[in-house]
Amino acid sequence: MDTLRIKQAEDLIKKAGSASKGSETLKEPREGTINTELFEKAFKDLIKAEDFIYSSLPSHELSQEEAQVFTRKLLDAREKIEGMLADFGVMEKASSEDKIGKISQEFIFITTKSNFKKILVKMGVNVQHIIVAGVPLEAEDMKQINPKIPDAALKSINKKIEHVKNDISRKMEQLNLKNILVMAENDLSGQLLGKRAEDIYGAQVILEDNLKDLKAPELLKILSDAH
Amino acid sequence: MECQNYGLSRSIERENLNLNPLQRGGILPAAAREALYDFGDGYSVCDYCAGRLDEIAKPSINGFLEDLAKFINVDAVRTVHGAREGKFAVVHALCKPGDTMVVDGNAHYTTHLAAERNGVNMVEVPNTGAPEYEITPEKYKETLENAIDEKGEIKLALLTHVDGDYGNLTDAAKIGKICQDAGVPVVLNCAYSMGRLPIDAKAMNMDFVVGSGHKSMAASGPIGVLGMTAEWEELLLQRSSRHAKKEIEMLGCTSRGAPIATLMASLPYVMERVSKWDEEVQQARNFVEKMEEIDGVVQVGVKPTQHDLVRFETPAFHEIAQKHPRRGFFLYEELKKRKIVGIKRGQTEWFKCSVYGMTPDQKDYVAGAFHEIAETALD
Repeated sequence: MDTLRIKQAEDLIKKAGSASKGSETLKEPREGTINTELFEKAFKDLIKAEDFIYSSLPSHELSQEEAQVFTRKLLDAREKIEGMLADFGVMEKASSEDKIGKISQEFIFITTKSNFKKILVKMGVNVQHIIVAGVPLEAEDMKQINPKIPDAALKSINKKIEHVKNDISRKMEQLNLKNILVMAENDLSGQLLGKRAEDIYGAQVILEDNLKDLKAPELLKILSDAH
Repeated sequence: MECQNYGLSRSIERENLNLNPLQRGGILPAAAREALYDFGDGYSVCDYCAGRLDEIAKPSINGFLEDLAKFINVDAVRTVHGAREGKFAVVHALCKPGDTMVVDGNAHYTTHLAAERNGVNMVEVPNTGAPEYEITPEKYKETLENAIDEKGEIKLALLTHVDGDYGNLTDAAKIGKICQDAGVPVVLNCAYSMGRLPIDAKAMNMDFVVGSGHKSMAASGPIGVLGMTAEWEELLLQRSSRHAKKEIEMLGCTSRGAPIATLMASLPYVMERVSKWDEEVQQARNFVEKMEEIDGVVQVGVKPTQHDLVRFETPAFHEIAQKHPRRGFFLYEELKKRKIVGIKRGQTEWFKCSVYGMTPDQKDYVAGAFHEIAETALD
């Protein structure tokens, strides 16, 4: 019976490996230790995702908003399962951060705050690829953010905008990249930055309600979708 | 010996909307399903037990019982194996064989069994009959007073807060006061209410309340709740002379493992949903209204309904059954096609149902399905 089970498992792994995309291939498992903490967390991530099975009865259709939460839970679980598979040599130990590091090489990120830059770096984005635009990309947008802004202050804003735009052009040239990704919070500053960047650079815009709550697997999904 | 295939798989709740009132209040939230993973083993809550289940600090069963006591406003509370075991313990502690207790005419059968097992006679308070089947405070008072006159002493009174046949909500505070004035200790069976709607045992003038974890408190069964005022603690929670830590009526320890862990994990969720009970009742009324738009579908019991459990008389569907090739099975099968379950196979003359805890869209979907079946089943 045990031999049969091992054979079945081997077949399944081979089948899964042959069906995998890109460079991700699955290998024969080697001896290892089960990370019980990861197992428990993966299981509980799936339990959290399970709630959507009940709330979406009987059709099991999810709105885009619901799908976002549901898939986040699945991604959380996947990351942990992949960690365990890596412990047995079935997969390469590539964390979400490693994957983000690779995929983010293809983008220049523009964000609105230094804090967001730190978050992106922490999740694996190469710091050289991030520009913090503390100002919108057009001076007139500043009036929407702060209607009482004096004209004198707008002059210095104009200078800052020039710096930011120069920075963007320089990085596009240096890194030989055309893909601009605006990642900011879904507030007025983020929306204005996103709109202008879309108009000027054809940027893709990702606005999150709580960027600080974004997790590496979710960023990876965003980058994979944007890729 | 090779064991049979027990068919131990169940996807009903994952694939269908279940209208069985029995099932609606026991569906586990994610926190409880996580607790089930951690505490599924038999004695999982007993790792740090020093002899008393209710005093275990890890997991914090003692803290949970404190919260639970506040939640239902009692002085002492214990978990038991179910509401029925709670009722049995009360009858057993207060009555002797041959004693008499008063029970309402809509009482659950387990009330009768608790009395029978204890050799206690019952005097029943009749309900008002069709179509409301109500237990009124006036009738309760009259029956209780007559019973006292006739028997001399009534040891205990029991009131079903919400009955499982009609979903009628009794006036517990008023009836509790009647019993209190008559000097008769009273127990409120809250199997269909505790965990669904607010329970304030003291405001309801109750000496005891019992609840059901698996029926209305989002817990894995079997587990129940027995709450009491301080006056009864000594009697109900009397310790064994031989095993000093063990409470006799509880037979030492009651539900362990998954039942209590899920009950504990669900308490915050249950408290939250209880605070929204008025909305749930309103939605139940809307559902009844939509159902009654079908000619030949009428809610029985007190109207407008005060609970999610509703009973319908459905001559409309019974009439269809007479002509339908699948006869009485048509309703079950038509509902099943629409991924709705919980109405018994073959039942068309009447049924009980509940849409408790469903989303507004799901409730509309269910009502819409009944309309569609009524209109098209014979096409």
